[in-house]
Amino acid sequence: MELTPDNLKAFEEIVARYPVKRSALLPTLRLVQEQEGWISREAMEYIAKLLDLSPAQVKDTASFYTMFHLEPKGKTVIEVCTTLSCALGGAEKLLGHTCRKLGIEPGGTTADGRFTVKEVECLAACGGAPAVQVNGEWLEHATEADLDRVLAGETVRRTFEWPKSPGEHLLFQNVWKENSTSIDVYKASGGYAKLGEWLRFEPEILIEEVKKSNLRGRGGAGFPTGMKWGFLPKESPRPRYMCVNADESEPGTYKDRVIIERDPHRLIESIVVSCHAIRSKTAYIYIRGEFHEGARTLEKALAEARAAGYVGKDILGTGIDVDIWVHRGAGSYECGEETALIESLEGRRGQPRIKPPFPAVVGVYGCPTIVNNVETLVNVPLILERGAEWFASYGTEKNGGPKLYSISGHVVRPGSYEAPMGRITLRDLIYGEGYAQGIKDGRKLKAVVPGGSSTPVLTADEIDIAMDFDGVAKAGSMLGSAGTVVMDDSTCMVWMAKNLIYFYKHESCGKCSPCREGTGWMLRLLERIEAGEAQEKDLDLLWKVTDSISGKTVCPFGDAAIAPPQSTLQKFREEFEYHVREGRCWKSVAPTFEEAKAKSGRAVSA
Amino acid sequence: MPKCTIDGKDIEVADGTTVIQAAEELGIRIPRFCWHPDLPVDGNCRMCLVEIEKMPKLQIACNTVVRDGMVVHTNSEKAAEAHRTTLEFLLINHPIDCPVCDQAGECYLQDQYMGHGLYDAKVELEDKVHKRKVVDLGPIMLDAERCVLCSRCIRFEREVTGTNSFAFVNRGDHTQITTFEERPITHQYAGNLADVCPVGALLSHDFRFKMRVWFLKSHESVCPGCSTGCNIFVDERDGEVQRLRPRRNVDVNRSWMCDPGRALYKEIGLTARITGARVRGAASWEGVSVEEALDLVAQRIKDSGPASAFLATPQGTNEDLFAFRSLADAAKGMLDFRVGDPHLKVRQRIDDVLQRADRNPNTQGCLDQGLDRDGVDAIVAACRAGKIQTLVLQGPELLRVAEVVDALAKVPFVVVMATHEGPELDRAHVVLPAAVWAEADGTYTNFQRRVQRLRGAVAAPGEATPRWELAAGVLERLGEPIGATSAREVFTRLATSVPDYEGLDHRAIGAQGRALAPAEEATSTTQEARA
Repeated sequence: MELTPDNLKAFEEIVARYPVKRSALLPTLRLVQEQEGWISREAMEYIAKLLDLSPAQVKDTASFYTMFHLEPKGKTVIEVCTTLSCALGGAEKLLGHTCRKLGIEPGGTTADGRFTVKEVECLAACGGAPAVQVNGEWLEHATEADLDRVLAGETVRRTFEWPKSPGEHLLFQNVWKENSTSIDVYKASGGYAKLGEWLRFEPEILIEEVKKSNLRGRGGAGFPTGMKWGFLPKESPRPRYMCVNADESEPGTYKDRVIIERDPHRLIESIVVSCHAIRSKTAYIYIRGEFHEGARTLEKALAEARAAGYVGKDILGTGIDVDIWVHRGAGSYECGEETALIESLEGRRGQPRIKPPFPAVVGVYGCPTIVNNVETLVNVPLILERGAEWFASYGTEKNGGPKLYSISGHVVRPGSYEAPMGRITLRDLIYGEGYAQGIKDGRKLKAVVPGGSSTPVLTADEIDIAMDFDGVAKAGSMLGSAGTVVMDDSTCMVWMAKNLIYFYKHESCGKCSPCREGTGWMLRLLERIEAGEAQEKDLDLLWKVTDSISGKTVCPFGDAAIAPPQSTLQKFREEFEYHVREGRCWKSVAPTFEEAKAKSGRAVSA
Repeated sequence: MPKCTIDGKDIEVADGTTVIQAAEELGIRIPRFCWHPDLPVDGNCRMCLVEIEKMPKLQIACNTVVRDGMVVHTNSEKAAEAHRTTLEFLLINHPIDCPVCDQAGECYLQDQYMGHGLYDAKVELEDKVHKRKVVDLGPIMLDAERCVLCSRCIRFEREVTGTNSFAFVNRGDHTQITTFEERPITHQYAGNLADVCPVGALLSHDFRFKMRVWFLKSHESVCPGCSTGCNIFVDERDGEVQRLRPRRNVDVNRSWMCDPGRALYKEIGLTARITGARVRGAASWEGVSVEEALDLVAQRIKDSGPASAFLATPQGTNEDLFAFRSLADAAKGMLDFRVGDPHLKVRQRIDDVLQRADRNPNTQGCLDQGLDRDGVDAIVAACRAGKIQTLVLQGPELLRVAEVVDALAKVPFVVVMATHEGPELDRAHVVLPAAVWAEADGTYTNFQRRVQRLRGAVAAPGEATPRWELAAGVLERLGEPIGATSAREVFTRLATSVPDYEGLDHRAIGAQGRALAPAEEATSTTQEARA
């Protein structure tokens, strides 16, 4: 097996983007897979030679990522997301239908080699639930009829139509425009106009401005961005790197995707000016592998920006150089954790590093590195344009600036919405006319995951809270990545916890013992509870397992994984007890838990 | 130099010392799987969690640097609970097949379960993740189900040998270690993989099912395989050596040794060993007692006087060499030690890890004692010219050199000290039975000029005797007794006459050896070549 001459040329261009050859491993695996359809043993040995690695090192990396096929796959690959929002939207039925029609199990390939059907984890298409990708192309709000057509050989595509936010659009100002991804549309809205001016500022002035603005990271942790930039060592002879975290994978979250797919130049300009602020000449956009359309859009926009002189050497005659490269992931939630992202960028398994040292001191290639989320960065030009004071006052105290909120699940109008941070409540987001417009089919609200799957669930009584970092924290949860998943009263909370634990078990990188073994243990327990095969003591055991993981893992994944079982056990323990007592899920008895409870109450009294 | 308190004991440590290292210095063993003193920290097993006052969360001791005033509790209620739960996690998918596992007795899972576990199992065992078992990787047997995924083997291959043949595949609780396509390990440091493995996932093929390790007795020694002088343990049972293992010495071999060195124990065994003295009679060899043989040798040396020649062996200990030199001096005969390739390869590496071109453990000792005196060529020429009446060989090496057979044939009396049978011995007139390295106390001086002790681990077979004692026996008969009855005493004598060894004795050398005045070009051994 060898690369074709064209692909070999592409390979050489890829290798040239990185100071370390191994960084080209993920792109090279992708190149080989695109050429050959899969990655064979011979292919791994060939790649090892190309990149001066051992074949074992190539397989170590390749086998970590779900998007690399180490066995032959079908000509058409159908990937059905089954994580929470999609599962609430009927994904399991859709998957079952597709597999039944083809006579295969999930993960299987038809004997004629035409179709492979895979169950995949959150695709960041939660509004378009149930979401499917067919050979990497979006098929959102997929129906059984859609998949029947796909199986009949038709090309069916459907991309989520982003609903408009009410009020002022700052980050989303171009999203609904015709040709919104083109440089002309971006420039017509004032884009790139002040870039030259900003690049002539001393970097320290820019950092100071970002510090004053109170911009807090939008990836989930809410850490002050200016302070993070300030951690870079003052005196270091080594180059500095910017890594843009476009690995949007937190179940319930699909907001960066809007910027990437609809307004890529906003991100590019933000990266250029942020690189100048931290004195970095190179940025890598680490974009999750499943964002096929996003990666294409970014590549095209980058080509335009390079041609126009906004990216590359001596930008706008300022003497400032900033190169930006798109680096595609290959299927791993953990790569959104900043040190795992760095490992993945270096061509390794996406596993976190122990800290210290922190990336600002020892990051990618051992050099000082800043990892910032897409949404975080697109706020930077706003701060520079309108001033830190304006930014800090837009929103609530210590929660400055605009915020993107994704909402999905059992709501009338799912979408990603922009609002001044904390100026809307969770209730506004769920019920507001300009937002999600309430619960679907006139049902009752039961539970909300406020900020992505890693944040503790809230009950219907806990939604009158400001949607900012401090407001949600006060309610005992977290704003996280502001990916809200809404569940109505038909949802079994044991099932919900099991669905998310399945996700965490699937995505656990396997590096540290408590997470690797604990996620599997929690899943087995939850499966048993849901099936009505558990005993009362299993509920305490489940709690104990979550406790044994808490605070003991290498990265925050462990604490993220225990949020669903802990918070559901705390707030919906009655439902867990019902499963144990009745030996079955209440859904087999009645459409809501209240009705099921009443029935069993009668049964008991009779 | 920060000071800290660990479990109520105070210690001052060097800057950058981690909590686990500081605890080691205090003799407190914090439980661990992935941490290894000679591998980069990875922090994956989470076994070494400790409680540090004023820190809200437990911290891993392996990656926490000691700060001044730190107060650490390694066995507080919180820490102990973490140790218990981490063990419980690690045992979820472990087969618990200790009765058939060679690691039993030196297994971290077992040891730490006894020390920190002892909980009531809460895991239902029926649905474990199944992985590959009994995978033959050449010198190593792999059992992936026993693995705790600590990555020590992977880090060893990355950092020490640079071979990268071990890697993980898959992720989450389906992660396994493996070589590519289960290909065998081909480098010469495979034995270390079994050593670094804290559990029974990687086992030595050679030692497989041989012996329960608790029957073994360990003796501190030095590998005789080359001039590096790796520190080792000789593990024996009832006087039979079962395996050699590296013994940590950061200045020489860290925690490693090579596979050829590891295999050297096989030569100690009883077959083909020379267990008694013999002299050549009219028709064939005649067995005699060592005493009788020494009488004969002493007489011939006395008769030959300066027409005798002595060839020492760099396989000998410093004590052997000292006694042998004393003998040559007493006879006023010719003396040298070099056999075969005349170039001194004592410091020349043959790989980037440990092995050196000089396959003798004590060439440096020979040089230090001035045994490179008259030249082997001169001695051979003298033999050929019929000027040598008695030739005493401390080892049989010269007898194997085809080019000198004619010269040796001209010597009327050739004495050889030998450990093993071989056809070359037929060129001698007297064979004296010598003990091998593992059967005698003594010292070697390695390529760095580091004097290191080896200790007799097993008894020599039959009448085999340490070489220094054979030489001392002759000296005694010549009326010039060496005045020592043990290797320790020989060394003390040596120390009074060899420059740089002054003031040294076996006790001062200790377990980790003593570096002499810096040798030129000497460098530390292990990894700097790639650094």
